Amino acid sequence: MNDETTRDLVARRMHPLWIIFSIGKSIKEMIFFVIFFIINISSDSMIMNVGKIAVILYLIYKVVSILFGWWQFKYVFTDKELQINEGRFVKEKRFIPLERIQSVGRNTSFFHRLFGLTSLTLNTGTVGDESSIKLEVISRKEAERIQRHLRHDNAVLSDESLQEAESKKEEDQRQHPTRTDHYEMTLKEIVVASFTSFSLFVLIPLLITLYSKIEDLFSVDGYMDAAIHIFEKSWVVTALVVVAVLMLSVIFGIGKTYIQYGNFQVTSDEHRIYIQKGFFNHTEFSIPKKKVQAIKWNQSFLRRWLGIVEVKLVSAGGAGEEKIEVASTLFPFISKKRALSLVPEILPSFEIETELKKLPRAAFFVKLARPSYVWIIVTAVVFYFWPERWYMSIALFVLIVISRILDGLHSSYRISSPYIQLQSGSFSTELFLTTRMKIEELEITESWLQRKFGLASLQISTRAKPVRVSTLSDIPQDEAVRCYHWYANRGVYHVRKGEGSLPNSNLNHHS
Amino acid sequence: MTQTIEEPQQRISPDAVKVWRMSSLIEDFIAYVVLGALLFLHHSYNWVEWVGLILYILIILGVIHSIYEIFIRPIYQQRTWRYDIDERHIQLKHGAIKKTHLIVPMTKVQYVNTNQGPLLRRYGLATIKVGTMASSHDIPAIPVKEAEELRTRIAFLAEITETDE
Repeated sequence: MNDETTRDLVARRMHPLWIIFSIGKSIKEMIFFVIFFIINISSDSMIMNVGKIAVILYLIYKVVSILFGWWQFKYVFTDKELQINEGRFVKEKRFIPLERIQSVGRNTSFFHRLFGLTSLTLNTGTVGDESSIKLEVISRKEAERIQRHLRHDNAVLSDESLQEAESKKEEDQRQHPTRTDHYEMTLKEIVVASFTSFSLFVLIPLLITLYSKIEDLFSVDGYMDAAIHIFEKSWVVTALVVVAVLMLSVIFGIGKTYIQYGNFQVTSDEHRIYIQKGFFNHTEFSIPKKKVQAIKWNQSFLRRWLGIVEVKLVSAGGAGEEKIEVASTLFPFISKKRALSLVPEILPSFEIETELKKLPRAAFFVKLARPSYVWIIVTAVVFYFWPERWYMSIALFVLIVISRILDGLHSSYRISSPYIQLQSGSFSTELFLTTRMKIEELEITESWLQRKFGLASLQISTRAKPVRVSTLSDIPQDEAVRCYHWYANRGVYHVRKGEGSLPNSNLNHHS
Repeated sequence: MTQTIEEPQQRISPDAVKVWRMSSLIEDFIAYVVLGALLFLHHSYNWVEWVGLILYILIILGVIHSIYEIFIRPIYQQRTWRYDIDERHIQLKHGAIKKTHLIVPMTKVQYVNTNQGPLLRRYGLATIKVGTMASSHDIPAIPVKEAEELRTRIAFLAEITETDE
């Protein structure tokens, strides 16, 4: 086994195709100049000649810099950390403790697939440009090796013996037999999802753009007049066209959802959760269970009626790049019932209770009595500039009242030993679930109005990127106080004496 | 009677009132200069009418705000400011009209420092800044020596429990 560890310690470069990939990328970035250059290649004016030289020099600089970049970029995974040597002209060394890596994303684009390659994104919890490490072009085998290495890190960190880790390595090589399948998206779900999202309407702006593009080239007004004439004559034709457009947009919407979420799959092993998805662009995202900071349940207005939820995992290395952000979605659309049975199966350290406490009646008074600055400003502007449109002010008022009542109805909470659940939202709702240990700070505020009605607001901040602040307004004051004490009496200081005194011992915060 | 959050005990320096008054005075003065300049420009260049209207509304609101910020708020803010630091938490409480209670466990404290601007220095005071992963919080107007001791203490307490994460 020693041989293998030493072999692992050799610094590696990215796959040589990275050079092609990067050159392609920088050509794509300056595509405009390149086209301009090609069109005017025969021109002989002074400026063009200077321009040509400048472009050529820039391209040479780019290529040299990319070649250097490839040569200089090396990475090594040791037992404890990831070392990176980089810098095109100025050398730089970075050391990233493996413990810092919050989640791993694997993205295989069409280009990657052509050559049997893939890319890995390692998200760390830090803020800023260097928050994630991207290995843009590596072989699949190498990606497997890195992912395996990171999995081991986890096993080792949770104090398991090395031998066990070694035996795991062998197991992993036999196509992850330890992984359990939890969820695979069905075609039915994709159809329902595309019907309840805006993807159905994507076709319409597309058609409009297409129409205006065509109009630029040919004058289609004459044809349009003729067409409108036909429509006016026969409603059958009109109906047929409408149906055809609707069908097209349905097919288009489903197709778009399918490309985005096709082959969506959730699996997990003892320590990690794996989310795979994508039809053309294959993405795999994995996150250690103990790095999951919180769970979010989102429901839009329409999906609420159908009992469909979106479940997201909140982690410190979550956002940053959009691709990864989407991938931290555990279930993009799933029936609530199914999610309720699946989430505890995947994340045993999170317990979900479906019965939440509602806000008291007084909360509705406070919510409605609060002045709405948006309404005041809009009303003032409307009455000053367009007094004849006074009804806009009333419409906005009604909308605000409805949204506040809905917010009052949807707001609910539950605190049961290490867990806290907060739900809020008017037209679309969000349920936020986390544990006491994951809360960075807790704040209780009480405005004058709230005090008169015996209410208060609760605000908790959780470690995420960007920081997640969840607020629940207008809960009863004594509940807020209870929540404060609940947080103040965290079991942190008993940890070293033994786990017994902890309310829940599988939280892994003692590692 | 339901239970309440027991108030932290430590208070901030009474000189905070003077410091806050002075800084509000300076800030508001700058704001009025800017508003006045805009109003002058409005009149000399004949800008559209509603710009003037907004500027006058802002000035009226500004005056009310200034009276509150300079005469009333500093007194209540100083009187209601409380903090407590023990080996487990930092607890902050402030506000009279809008009360805020904040609790940060020592284990979540990422950094702590003290700083003083020219106004605070005049009265020998300093502000302690405590940062977590989520945000940072100020404990304002503490006598310099005390502030430095507290900073060392918080740093020490936050350090011991670092093994928690």
